[in-house]
Amino acid sequence: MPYTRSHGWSKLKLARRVLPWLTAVLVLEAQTSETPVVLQAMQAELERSMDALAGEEVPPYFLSYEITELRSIGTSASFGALTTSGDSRSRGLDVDLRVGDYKLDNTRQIRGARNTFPSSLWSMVAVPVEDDVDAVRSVLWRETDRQYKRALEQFTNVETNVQVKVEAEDQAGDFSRESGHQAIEEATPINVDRADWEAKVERYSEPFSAYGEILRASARLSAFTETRWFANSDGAAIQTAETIYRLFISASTKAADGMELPLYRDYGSFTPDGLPDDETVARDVATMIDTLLALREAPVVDPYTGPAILSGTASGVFFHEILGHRVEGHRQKLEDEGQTFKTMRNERVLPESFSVFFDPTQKRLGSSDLVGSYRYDNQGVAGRRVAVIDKGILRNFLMSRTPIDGFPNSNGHGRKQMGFKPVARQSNLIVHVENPLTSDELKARLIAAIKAEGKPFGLRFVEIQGGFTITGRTIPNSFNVTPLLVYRVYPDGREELVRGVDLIGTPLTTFSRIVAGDDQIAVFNGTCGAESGGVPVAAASPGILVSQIEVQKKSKSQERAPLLPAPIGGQTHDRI
Amino acid sequence: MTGSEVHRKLLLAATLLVVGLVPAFAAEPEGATMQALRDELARSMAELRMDGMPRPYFIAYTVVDADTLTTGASFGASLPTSEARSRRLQVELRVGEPAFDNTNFRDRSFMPARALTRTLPLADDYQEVRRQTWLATDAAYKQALEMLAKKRAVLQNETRSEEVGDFHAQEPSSYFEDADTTPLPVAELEDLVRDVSSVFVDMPDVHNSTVNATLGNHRVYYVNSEGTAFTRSDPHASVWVQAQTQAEDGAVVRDFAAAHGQRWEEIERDHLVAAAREIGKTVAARRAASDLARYTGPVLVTGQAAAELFAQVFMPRLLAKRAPDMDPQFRRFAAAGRNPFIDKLGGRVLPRLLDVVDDPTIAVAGFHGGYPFDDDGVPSAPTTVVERGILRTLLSSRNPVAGVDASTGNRRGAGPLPSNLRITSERGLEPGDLEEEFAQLVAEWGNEYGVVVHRLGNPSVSQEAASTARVIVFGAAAQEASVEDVNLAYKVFPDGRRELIRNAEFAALSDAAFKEIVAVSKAPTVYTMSYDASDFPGFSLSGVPAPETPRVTISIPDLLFEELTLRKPSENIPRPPVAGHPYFDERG
Repeated sequence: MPYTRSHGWSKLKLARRVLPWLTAVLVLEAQTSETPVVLQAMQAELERSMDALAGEEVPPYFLSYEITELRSIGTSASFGALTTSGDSRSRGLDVDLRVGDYKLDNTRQIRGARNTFPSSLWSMVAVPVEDDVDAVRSVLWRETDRQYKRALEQFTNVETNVQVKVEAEDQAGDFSRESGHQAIEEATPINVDRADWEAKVERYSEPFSAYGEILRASARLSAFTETRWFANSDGAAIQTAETIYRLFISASTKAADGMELPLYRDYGSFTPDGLPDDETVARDVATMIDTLLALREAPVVDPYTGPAILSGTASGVFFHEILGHRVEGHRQKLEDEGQTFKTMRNERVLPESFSVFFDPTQKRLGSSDLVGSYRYDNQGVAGRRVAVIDKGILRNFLMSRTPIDGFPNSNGHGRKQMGFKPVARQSNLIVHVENPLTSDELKARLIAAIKAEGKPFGLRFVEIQGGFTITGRTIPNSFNVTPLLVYRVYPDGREELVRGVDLIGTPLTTFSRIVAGDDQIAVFNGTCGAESGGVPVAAASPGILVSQIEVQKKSKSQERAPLLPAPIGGQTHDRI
Repeated sequence: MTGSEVHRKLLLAATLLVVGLVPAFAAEPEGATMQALRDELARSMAELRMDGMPRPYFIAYTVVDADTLTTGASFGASLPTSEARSRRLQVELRVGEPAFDNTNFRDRSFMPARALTRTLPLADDYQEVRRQTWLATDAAYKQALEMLAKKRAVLQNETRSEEVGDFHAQEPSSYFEDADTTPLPVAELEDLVRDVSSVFVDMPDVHNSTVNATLGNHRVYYVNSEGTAFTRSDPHASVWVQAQTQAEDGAVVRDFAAAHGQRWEEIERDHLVAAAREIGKTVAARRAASDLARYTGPVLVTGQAAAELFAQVFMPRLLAKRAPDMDPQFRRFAAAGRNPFIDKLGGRVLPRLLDVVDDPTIAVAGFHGGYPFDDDGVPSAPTTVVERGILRTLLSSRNPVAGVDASTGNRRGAGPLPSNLRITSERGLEPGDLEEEFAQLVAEWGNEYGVVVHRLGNPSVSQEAASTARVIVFGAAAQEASVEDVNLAYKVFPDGRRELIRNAEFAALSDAAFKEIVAVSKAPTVYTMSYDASDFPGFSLSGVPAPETPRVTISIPDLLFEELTLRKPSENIPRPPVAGHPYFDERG
């Protein structure tokens, strides 16, 4: 079982820079037998580096190390035949070294910069996978030196940029003061019989092989453990570990007009027992096959505006894209960001019945695990529940250690993928609706809206592949959600499967059209990609009714279907 | 070749039809994969067509079954180990005719036609191999039709400056080699790299060191519509040792050593440990040495340095690579990659005393570039490339080049590459005689000293890449040679005294400099390297060549150049580390 230790050493904090760290070292030395070897190496080198660099003309005021170990086991099969099976382990280092002070340091955005080469967004520093203090410290030493010299360069540019540009709109400093947590979360070994998994993925993907129309079909089982060791000059010393098991089934077909039609089933859990049993998977695969074959024959929808229902998973992605990315703290500060919600604090943005919060401490909702959970973020700050929208009123933002006006501290949402710099990112997005409707009532409201507006039909979005959003200023601030499964809903209640549309819009207009939610909460677990890399996130939401959405034609492959029939199975739905 | 049997025979034109009638699972002795490839090949050649469009006139399928183990160590501790097996199908499909087809053309997409590849099952699964082959062939056919149309469209408004066909004829052959199913020794390889890396724990003047190893059993299946078929095993084992430090003034000093074999057992632990110690010692010694000031005059390039210099400057010129026809829009931005040696066929490119022969059939210890059949299915054979200094031919694939009438059996990957390249001379000198010749030449020049270069860097071995992401750009047939820095060189004075040089680089070196070789040694050095000469080179994050990079072995004598220019490195010197190495610092 994970546990957290607290030494209460914040009471001993004596000075701004070195002393807090020395204190932490003293405290931890008494616990050396329990301190992981990697963490010991990090603490020792961190202390030595801060001492050595303290004598420099521009010394660092903050230094943190994070070593991430990624262990994964995965097997894949295509149409019943094994294609990959592997086991890997790697470790990488991230260093955050800051010169200047909390108010102004080397990480400040260079405003008005042009032609900057973006390679600094990512770097991979390999660390030995053995718990060898000397070998780990030698990597830490080299990278600290490299990052220190880089910080000096950056700080020189920052100081000049501050002088030559207009005054920044946001006057908050560059780094928040946070206490250094100490916690050791024990790693849970991956519990997998690889041979058994290989047989499973072959079994799960085999039913697709009878259908010549299905051009791609695969099943992948993977187990992934991320162990992180974090230490900083505030005294933080943390080990966290999280294992995620995942089954991903994908298949695609092609319509006569060339349109690629994919479908996915994605199951995630913190334990292998949380994955579905064979019977459930077989049932889902059979449904996928039927749906794929039906999609090939489904009519294409033309661009349309009108009322629509988004199922729970669809609305989860919808909220993630149009709200979640726009309440990430640093986006309220960066001068090239749209800052959609920056000045709307304490204003109504949703109906009073809607609340939205982000909670990395919640690991489960109903029968679903939430993969966006964690105890500490990538800056060593404890993850906290953040009520962003309370009864329809915007109250808060997701904060990393980059402060913004009115929000001087982190709420534990500084996240990143190994090799990237942390920024404010989403965790588990949870939409709560007071007094929800039933799904039948929601559909009745949709039909009423269709009739009231004289529309021939409305839309019901059932499954979503994902989406993206544009939050900057230089091109229109918009979003795009990519559906996999959409139905037309006619005024008489009849539903018809359709294809070929993406859900699009601009954030504030679309938000203002959300009308009601139902009681069918669904969870979408996925990986969100942004400037700090891919991080696991969850979005849990009920189905919602939107009075007006807009769909546009989906981009479409121009490639014909294969000229010759499949060499096996033929162009028939019959099994061999 | 142990365990292998060569069958070479002419096949009747009806072969494909016969193959097409073979029952689906009558796969022995080739296995279900080869059978599935043959069956889909027969069907595609017979039935694949689009109304009003040409049918394929040639299809080839290559399946690479790669079982690869990579690992490493740094400062005596293990870096990540990766063992991966994959099977990839690649389709080559041609429409038109050999004189003019869909290849040798670049459209506005700036890239060559996509390599049509698909992932295949790890097991010999007939049905799934056929399904993926069907899909890949279909995509390749449609792409080929479009590329042929684009090429015709461009050339209808132009007259080609040189009429060269697109595909050499080749008689069908077959070859089947037993699979090597020996498991890859994970624990043993991890122990080896850790042991070798531990050498540097006793070397306080070496700041950074890595040992990387790659071991692989690759098996290639090939079948084409002319009736050629082969299976080939490409086992390989390579270990690289790298050491780096900074001098007091911050100058970076680095060196590397490598060992190669066909199989794991050929890598000698003691040899590697000794090599690691040697480069560690010389790197440490170079910290205290001085950079070479600008030097022009006689240079003796020996051993590893001779092989690297030849590979980096001269060897790309020996490859029959042509400039493709291009979309005019593309031509405005892309330099034509035509090898200037195409125009030197029959001319002098080396001094009269040197011959160059490429020989993939060499099967003796130390030579690792050989193969029985190349990637076009052409049987391997020796090729005399340079005879008494005269360029006789270029190493070629089935892609024709003006003046080269047939494939020399050198297709390796995307294009031609050397295999085992032997540079020989009937007039090689004994060591003492060569040094005397060198000393006389230095005296004639009136220089205070001469320069002897023993080791050079390699473009695909870079320790920085081991710690931070970096793009490794392989210079293939660039117009001006880019030569890696010198890793070990000495000033040699008339009294025989030798002075170690810290760092130096060659200045403005081109293939023409090799005509200035005035003497060579009798004894050659046999040296193997990974070599990527593709137009669109790969990326390396590990700091050593990717496992699939072909290996070339060069047997070369020491080379005495009449005149070369060396200078101190042109790059700025970085600041030295603020703190000392933690391990050595705390131990005084």
